[in-house]
Amino acid sequence: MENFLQLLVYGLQLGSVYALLAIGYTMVFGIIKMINMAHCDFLMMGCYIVFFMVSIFFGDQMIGPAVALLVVLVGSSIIGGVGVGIERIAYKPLRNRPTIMCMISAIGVSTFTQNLFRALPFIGPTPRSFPKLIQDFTITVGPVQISFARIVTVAIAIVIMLILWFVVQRTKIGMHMRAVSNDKDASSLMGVNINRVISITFFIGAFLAAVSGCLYATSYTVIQPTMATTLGNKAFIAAVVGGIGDIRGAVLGGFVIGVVEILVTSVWSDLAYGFLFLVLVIILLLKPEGLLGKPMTEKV
Amino acid sequence: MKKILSLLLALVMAFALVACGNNTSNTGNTGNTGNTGNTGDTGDTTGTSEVPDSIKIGVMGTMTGEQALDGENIQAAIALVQQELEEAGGLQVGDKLVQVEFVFGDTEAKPEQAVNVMQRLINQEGVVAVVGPNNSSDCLAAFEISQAAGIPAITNCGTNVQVTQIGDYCFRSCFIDSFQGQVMAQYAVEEFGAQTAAVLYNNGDAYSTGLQEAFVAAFEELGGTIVANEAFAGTDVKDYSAQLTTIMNSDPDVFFLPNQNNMVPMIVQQARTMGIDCQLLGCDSWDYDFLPELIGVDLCAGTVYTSGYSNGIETAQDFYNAFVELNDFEPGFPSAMTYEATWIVLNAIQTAQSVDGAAIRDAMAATDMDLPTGHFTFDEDRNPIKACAIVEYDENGQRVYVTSVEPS
Amino acid sequence: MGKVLKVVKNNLEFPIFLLFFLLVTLLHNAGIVNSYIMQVLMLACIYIMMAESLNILNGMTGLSSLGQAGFMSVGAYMSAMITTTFLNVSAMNGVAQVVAFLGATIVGAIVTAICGVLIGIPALRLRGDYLAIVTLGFCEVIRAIWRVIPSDIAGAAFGLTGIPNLANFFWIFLFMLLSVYLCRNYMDSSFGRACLAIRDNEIAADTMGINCFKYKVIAFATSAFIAGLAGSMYAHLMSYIQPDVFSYSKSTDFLVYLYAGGVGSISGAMVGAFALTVLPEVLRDLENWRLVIYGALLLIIIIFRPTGLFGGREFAFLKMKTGGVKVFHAKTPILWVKSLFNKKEKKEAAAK
Repeated sequence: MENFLQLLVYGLQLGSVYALLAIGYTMVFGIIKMINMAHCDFLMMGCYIVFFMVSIFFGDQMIGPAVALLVVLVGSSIIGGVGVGIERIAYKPLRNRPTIMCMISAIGVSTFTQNLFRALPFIGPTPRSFPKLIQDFTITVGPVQISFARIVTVAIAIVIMLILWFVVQRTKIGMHMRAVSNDKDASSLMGVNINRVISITFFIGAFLAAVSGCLYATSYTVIQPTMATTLGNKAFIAAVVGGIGDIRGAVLGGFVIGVVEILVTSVWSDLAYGFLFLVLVIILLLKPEGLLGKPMTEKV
Repeated sequence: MKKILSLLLALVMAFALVACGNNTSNTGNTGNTGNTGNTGDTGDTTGTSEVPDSIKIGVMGTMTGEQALDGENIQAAIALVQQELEEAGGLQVGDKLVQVEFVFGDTEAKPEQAVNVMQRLINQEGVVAVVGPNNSSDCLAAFEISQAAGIPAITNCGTNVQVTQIGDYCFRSCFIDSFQGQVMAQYAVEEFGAQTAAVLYNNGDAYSTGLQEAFVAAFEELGGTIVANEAFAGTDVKDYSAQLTTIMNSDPDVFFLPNQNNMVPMIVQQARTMGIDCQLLGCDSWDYDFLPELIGVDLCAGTVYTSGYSNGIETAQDFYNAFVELNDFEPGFPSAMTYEATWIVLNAIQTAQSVDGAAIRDAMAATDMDLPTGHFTFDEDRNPIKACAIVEYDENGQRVYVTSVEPS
Repeated sequence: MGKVLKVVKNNLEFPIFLLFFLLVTLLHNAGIVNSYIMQVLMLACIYIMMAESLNILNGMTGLSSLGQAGFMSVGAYMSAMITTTFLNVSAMNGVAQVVAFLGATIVGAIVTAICGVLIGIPALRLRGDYLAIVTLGFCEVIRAIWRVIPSDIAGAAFGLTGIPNLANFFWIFLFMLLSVYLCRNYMDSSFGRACLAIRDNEIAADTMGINCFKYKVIAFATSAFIAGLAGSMYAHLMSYIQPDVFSYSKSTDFLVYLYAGGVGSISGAMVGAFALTVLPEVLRDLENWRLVIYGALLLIIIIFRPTGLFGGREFAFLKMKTGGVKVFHAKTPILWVKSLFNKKEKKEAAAK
């Protein structure tokens, strides 16, 4: 039982990383129905930009939480801008094509950025150690060990979820987003500036990817250009399991995937990898719209 | 009518198969690819045939992808060889100086790309010998090609046993997994008095599973028990909490981590934070100068690993100094092995005084020279007879050479 | 005699294929086309098969699949296990080898088709991106299974070595043509029409009395069958397969080939797979920057040719009877160049 509780905590910790990433996926998918395969590259870029900012401005000295927060916010904003730029160059020309074209385009972006970062001489393939933004220590509650950095991650995931939920449901831009997500052409006729809404969505998506990258790298400290290739996959699966397009679903899906992964691994580590995907398949077969998704009716 | 015609054409095609197909299938087996691009390769294997003024040597490695780091090390080692050749004005073969050009090929750590690169190096570039690839899986795919074409190839880091079993044109400059695993098990029992051991390995990786099997077999033979033998799958898994919990509950004396260098830091960090404080054992992929810093110097102090090379070996000092001067970073296992492999090939060309595949092969098999890791000879399976170095990370994050274990 | 000539004239592609094959083989034997080019050519043919197989799902039926590499691995492993583990083909003589190889290929493809049906039936409850994720899930499950099958049967994580190198250019080219024609006939048959109807509007198709479920399962099986053939060719060309070769990134590669060539068009899949297999090889001289440039070129293709390199056309030799297909004749490029000049003239005229 103690063991089970401990594993549950580990699962939630891992799930929080997936959840944060899944929010970004789900935002972009909700608005333009596109699987952004390059999302995980925003994560990688975010890690590198924060790494370089810290090593240039602060060297090896320990930075306080406030400064760390500032650095992360500035770095993530830059990545947000990069995200908007990439959307303009690579996805906007394809907006009237089937959405899978955007996905292919994103694969191109992903190949390009990853290899560019590896080929650039000052980045290179050498793994780097991500600066410690939060002083990590372990808290022992009864039989269970909890890492402080992970608590912060879980908290931030939930806070971001709430903020976004508020933005989408209660603000004007959120209303525009929902309108565009519902029917792009009709909302355009109603005076919604689609380009602006999509740009803002991409900014938020890339921003979140960079923030989650920093949180991820605080727990798993090695950064390298290929760090996020398959991580993005799991996050996307989490978004689908939760019901893609739904922010609450993304967070729930992230935690579900994290817990399932840890529990299955502890029982049968040799087959765990395949088993995780089997669980995913079963969830989707039983609940085709994802855990929180609404069944969509199709019109002829 | 149309159907008859297509049938007829299909028949003609089938005949074409009999006529030409025999030739095409033969090219895969006899080693007569027709156009190997080697000047002077006219079946004259006496060793006195004239060597052209410039020759090409292929270098294969993972320049991109997950293992791009090894590629960087390989390129650095080749740069050093090139510098040495430039200083000498070329490679001294008999009484003339031969210019050596190195042609790089990126395998992306994909067997399929390795095959393409090997074909390209042999048939398009006309290389006389190939150094690499650095990955056992890539070797297994690519060496079939070089073996069939009769071009000697020597892998620098392909430690899996089967690599050199493909044929008599396949060599390696590093030791094999089973030897490495055995040495580690032996050292764990003798030095640390280990009774119980735990292993965490990647079951999607040939290198990792090979080492795990060797270590488990050797450790059990020495009377120890494996209390936890946990697997994880592939490189996308970065969280090892579940496996580490099982391992912690089994309370082993030693904990063996046969994994690629991009996973080691995270496993060690997570294990130490969780409270696994037993002796950690590693393998040759740990031999990078930045790894202790990446793991955290205090976390990995006292950790011991096996390697085919160590900067502390007495004979390696010249190589070490020259490498650091040229490349601004310390050499590790892959760079040292590439350097050795390249010099084995160059030395064989010098001895054979020929660029014929068979002549170089024979000369390579008879290699008897001094290299950074010591005196170097091949056994009858074209594997090197070389010692395995035991290296320790000290409390300052430096790699300290402990001892060498000679093969028995 | 005149009749024969007329038939030949109407089916000019068969002699052309034959000539192409003979030419390549002769040039190879003469040493002009070296083994490297042959290797790339054979790999391109295998990827053409994979792109065709994906085209049946994505292009014709409108089902997105991200698990094509999983199907390919089933074909590759089944056939390789038959020729290597169970039969030890290397020890046989020439004819027996070829027979065993063909038998293994067919068995492999049939097993893959059965897998396709088994995976297809539950997966078809889903649509769109959910289906894509479920196929991806199945693909990874298959890969995980290959990893844990004991090493004396399928090689486990280490992979299956020593597969006899039986797939030469003749067989690969032949199977590529066969699968292209299979796709053509499939698209032109009532099955294909039904699939196109499902792609365009599933509910409307259902209302018209098309059994959507049945045709989707058939599409899955056909697609898996071709993927199985390609897998067997791949295994017997590479002589070494490993579970990680058939990873998820391989599936996305095929998707990229298909969409870069032009989805929904058989010729487009051919052109896309061929171009994108050859392109990275052409760029090899760039060394470190190779994949950077490849990514950039891929982006340029997608952005500037959103309908694919081939623009949804079909080669004339495929003779599609399905309506609405633009045909690519030998004349098309000439007409295109002419139209360029015409535009200029018109502009000049307008300027005056």
